Amino acid sequence: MAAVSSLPAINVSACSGWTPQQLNLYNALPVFFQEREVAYRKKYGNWKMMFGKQPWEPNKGPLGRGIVSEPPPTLRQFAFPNALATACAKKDIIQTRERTFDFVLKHHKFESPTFQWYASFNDFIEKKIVKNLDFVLQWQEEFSSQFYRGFMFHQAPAMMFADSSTGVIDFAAPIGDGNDAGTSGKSNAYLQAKIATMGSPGNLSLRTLFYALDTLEEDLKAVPYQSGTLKDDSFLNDKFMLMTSSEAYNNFINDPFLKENRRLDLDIVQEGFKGNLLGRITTCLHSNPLRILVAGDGSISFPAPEAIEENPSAANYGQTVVNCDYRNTQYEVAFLCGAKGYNIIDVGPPPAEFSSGSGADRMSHLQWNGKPRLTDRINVPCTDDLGGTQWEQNAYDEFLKIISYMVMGVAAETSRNVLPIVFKRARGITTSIV
Amino acid sequence: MTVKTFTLVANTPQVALTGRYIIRNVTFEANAAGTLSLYDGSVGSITQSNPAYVDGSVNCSYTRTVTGVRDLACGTDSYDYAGISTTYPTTAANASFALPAIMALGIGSSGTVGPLDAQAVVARGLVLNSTAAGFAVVQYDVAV
Repeated sequence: MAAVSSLPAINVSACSGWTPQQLNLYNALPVFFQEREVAYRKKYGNWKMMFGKQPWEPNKGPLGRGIVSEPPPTLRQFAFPNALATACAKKDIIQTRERTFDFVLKHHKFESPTFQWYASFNDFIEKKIVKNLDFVLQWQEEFSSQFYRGFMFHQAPAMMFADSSTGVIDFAAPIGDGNDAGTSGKSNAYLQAKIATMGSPGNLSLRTLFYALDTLEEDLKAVPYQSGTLKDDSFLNDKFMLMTSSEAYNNFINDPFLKENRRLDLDIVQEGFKGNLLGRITTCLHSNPLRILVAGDGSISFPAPEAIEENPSAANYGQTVVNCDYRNTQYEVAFLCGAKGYNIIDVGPPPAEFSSGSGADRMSHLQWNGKPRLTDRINVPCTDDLGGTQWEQNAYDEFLKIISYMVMGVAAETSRNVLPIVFKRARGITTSIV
Repeated sequence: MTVKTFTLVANTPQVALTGRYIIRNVTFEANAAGTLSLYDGSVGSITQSNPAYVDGSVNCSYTRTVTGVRDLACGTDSYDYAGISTTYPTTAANASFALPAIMALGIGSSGTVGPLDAQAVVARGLVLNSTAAGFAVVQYDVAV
């Protein structure tokens, strides 16, 4: 070990020995920061692709009512007209009926925390507010997808429970708007009772899907997507659409029907399964599908799909990860959809007196199309002489906040065109050997 | 593929596996006549307490009669509309709803039966219930 002086040395012999530099003598940054952006899976399914559009008419009250002329039912399977020469002609009287469906507008607000200017001045990551704006936008997109999906789930008049022992299709499932408590629409109690009847295998097999397809087309009289229903989506022409998860789709490789009947040149080992299902169904994959957790006593819940690692000593502290309750869910819901079951309400602009703003203040416009924007029109707390909190205007412009207001609506025009399928989640590939 | 042997006590449901599995084969061995039933569950019970819930019911041959309908000639008419009717009655709570057996193996006297090529999927777990004491050999894959 060499003894190194921290002072400069003088009159040192030419070969005085090993004189290493002291490593911590000089200043260095303890850490360097690099801003990174990583790719994440898109969380929202393209539910809007499945829908038609319907305008909202302002100044006509809170409730919209669609009126649909229904074709008369077919009332016979044989037709026996009288012979011309021997009897008078009988006649059929054909009359049409109408049905109605109601729709309302819903609204929701989105906000960021209140940003202080100091963080933008001091912290390493710049343009934090712009980043947050992007996430607000993504959150809204996800929110509207969850709204559409939940509405379809709770409004669907028929439900499929794969391999249920009491009949796989419930043709008169309870309908409603749904709520957080699980007491409206397809209530948690209803789902608990129905899920308990599901037998084996109960996963989303091609056999199950084939049954669902026949039910949707024959019993629920849904029509497939037609050319022109969807722009630039000719692959959907004359097909139904399955909205499901990657997991369920990947599992088709292991489907007994596929294994028995696949083309010999369909390389499911190296190329996997692809293509449309049964020649009639196009699949649209999305992450964070609707999944149901069943507790030991049979009660069900819908756990949040994602969470944040909050253990400060974990290597991935702060990372958005899959919620373990969601990972452990046993049941999932896929949606087999025909064309134009639901319409997105085209809300239109807010009332002109509110949306055009007042005077020169461009910030004062009412916007409800979900466009996030910055505002400084907030109150900030300050402490008075008595130690109480008072609220004063953000007169110094020290704070900013992202706000967004979204008005939306969806109408269940022909809700039977969407069939939710509850199935058991399954992973794993089996062979006949082991 | 995992193979496990479970000792069966007569008429005592037991949790063999907890979680999601693909059940491949089941063999049942007993010293007397009996039936081995397999259930999708995660607790040692083959019943479940279900709360009351609303579910639909369809009357396929429903006729609605509307009477006293006035027409333009001041006549009073009655109309019969034949159709179906869907109602939403509340299904009473069932504190001991019997879970359905996803499969069963019967044995006429002492001996072994199986293997049953099951290809079954359990989502909650595998519960075994036998009417006779014996053994069950279960081959399964983890499906998580």
